[in-house]
Amino acid sequence: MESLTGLFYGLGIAFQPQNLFFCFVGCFVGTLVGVLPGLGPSGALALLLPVTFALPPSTAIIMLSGIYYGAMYGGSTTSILINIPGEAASVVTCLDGYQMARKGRAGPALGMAAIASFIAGTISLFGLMFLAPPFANFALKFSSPKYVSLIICGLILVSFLGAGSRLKAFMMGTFGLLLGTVGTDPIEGMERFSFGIPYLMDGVGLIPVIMGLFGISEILSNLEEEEFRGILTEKIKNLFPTLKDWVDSAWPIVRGTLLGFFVGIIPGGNTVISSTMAYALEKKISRHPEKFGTGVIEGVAAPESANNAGPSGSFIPLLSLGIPTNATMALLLASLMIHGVSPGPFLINQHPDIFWSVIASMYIGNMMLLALNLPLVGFWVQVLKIPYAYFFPIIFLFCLLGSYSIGTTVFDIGVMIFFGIVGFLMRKYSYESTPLILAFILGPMFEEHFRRSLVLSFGSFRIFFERPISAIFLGLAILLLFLSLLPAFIRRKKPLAKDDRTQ
Amino acid sequence: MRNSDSRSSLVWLLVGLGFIAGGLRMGIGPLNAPGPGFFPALIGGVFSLLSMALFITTFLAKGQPSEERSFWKEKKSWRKVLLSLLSLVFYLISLDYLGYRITTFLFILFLLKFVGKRRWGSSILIALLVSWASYAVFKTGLGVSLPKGLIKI
Repeated sequence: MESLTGLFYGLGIAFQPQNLFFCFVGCFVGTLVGVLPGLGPSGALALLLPVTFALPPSTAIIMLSGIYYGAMYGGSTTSILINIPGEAASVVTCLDGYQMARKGRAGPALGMAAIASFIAGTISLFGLMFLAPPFANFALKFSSPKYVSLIICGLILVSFLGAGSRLKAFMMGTFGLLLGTVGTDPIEGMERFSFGIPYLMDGVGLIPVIMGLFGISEILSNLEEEEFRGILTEKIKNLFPTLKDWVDSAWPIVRGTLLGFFVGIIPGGNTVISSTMAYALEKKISRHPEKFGTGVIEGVAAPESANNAGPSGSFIPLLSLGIPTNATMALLLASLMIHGVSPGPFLINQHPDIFWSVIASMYIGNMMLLALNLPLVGFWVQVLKIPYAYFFPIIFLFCLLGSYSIGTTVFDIGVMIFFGIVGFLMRKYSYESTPLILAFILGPMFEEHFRRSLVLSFGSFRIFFERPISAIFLGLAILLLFLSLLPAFIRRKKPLAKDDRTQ
Repeated sequence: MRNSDSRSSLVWLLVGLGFIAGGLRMGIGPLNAPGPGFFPALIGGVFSLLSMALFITTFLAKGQPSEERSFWKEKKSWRKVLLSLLSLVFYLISLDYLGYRITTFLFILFLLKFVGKRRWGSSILIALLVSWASYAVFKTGLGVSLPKGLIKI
């Protein structure tokens, strides 16, 4: 079986000392980021992206993905202990997790969160391993029109699934495409919108935009909050869930894993959505729904499984199609591009080392995280006591260093600050940043396929509807647009926790 | 938020029109061989339409209760944000003149003391530590070239 041989091949690479080390670094940073409220995985990835420049591509992705799924482990810690989600996907864990802690059951809650995360993470990896190669094979036959329809559908879906005004989300996606046109035309090489500034000849820098939009703006928003107080200072004893806990959680873990995995595959399907859905599902089918919110273990096991299965699902479109489905994946895509690896269905064939070593290291990473989050929980509680005032200057510094190190010019820092302000304003006025960054990254590729399609069809737009697959994607996109129009731009009730949209 | 939406939608409209104009000037080419201006003009057009739609929604929502939340979450919030932004700009301007270590030291010190409200002692200590340590890690460890500034520190 292709997948098993691939896995063994990947394990061989993943066990190299450098990769083991950076896998650990990623998992450690991920847990840290997850534990600390206010900094999310996308922000952390943005910050550490420049650090990975000097690393080989597999190692870079290994570390960065470690941060992503590591944050899904760490986020539950503060949710359970102080009723504040460490990051957006752990919001739902607060509901029952914190109640369990108040009843003196913080230990089993934390334990189950970690174990459920481990089980979900590992099982979903099997899904990734077995589904990605066939997906890629399928996509190998994709022609330009299909890509166009797929990307349109994906961008619309991402905007559709976001919180807040869909119209504004669509606008952000469109704006991202426009931003992507600044620089050199992908086909003819003409200078566009550079206004004679040599810096802009290569387009608006990707890294400064990412750092500004996700790093700087995040901190600026956080600075507005008053610092939180109140930690459950009692010692956490007894991390092991009881037998009854296990029995109660078994099926929720299975359901959460499946839900999280499949939601992760969909563009715009992020871990916030899947964890919320998992919780709602368990409550609905439970024999004692009224107990949810008072401290039932299923209320912790299900969302934690979902948010850990999500990353594996999200990797499928990225590694087999080259399409990122959320902001974090977009950053991973950016990292691949920076390392000269062009993502797409060819990735598995041209760079099997990257593909399989990343998957293999995710197995290893999950085990590391289990160790980091179970016995070492006490360490993280100590870390939580450090005031935010010490963290944010360092985060700023990372952003500055990161931007500067690309071209050794302060112009990049300027772009970063500009987009930091833009991102900050966007948060204030409820504009989603995920569609923007996705569109910005995919823009040039999208344009190339679009123009090529028109050349192939001699100028007719019908080509997008002729091939069945292309037609299906477009049909779906049109359907979604229509559905968005119906409520007539009414804003959705539930705003996401401030960190998210960057999931 | 409604007033701000109507104002910002006009700004967006201008942006969209700008891209259309720019795209047309670059040449959109015939449909079977689209030129460099084709995509920007097309997407600019979509964007303009969306911004007009946004503008219209601000009228549709007139009947509903206004969501005018105040811009800042708390009254004193703007200070921290503004000071941080200023310190970032300071960094931008001074980096090439003062060199990495001095600029970073001042930057961290400022943030710790005036935004983070920590004590002088710990602020100075940490600022020193961070600026020297990061220089070592990034310059020596990762090989990033960091400016030495005019004073050559």
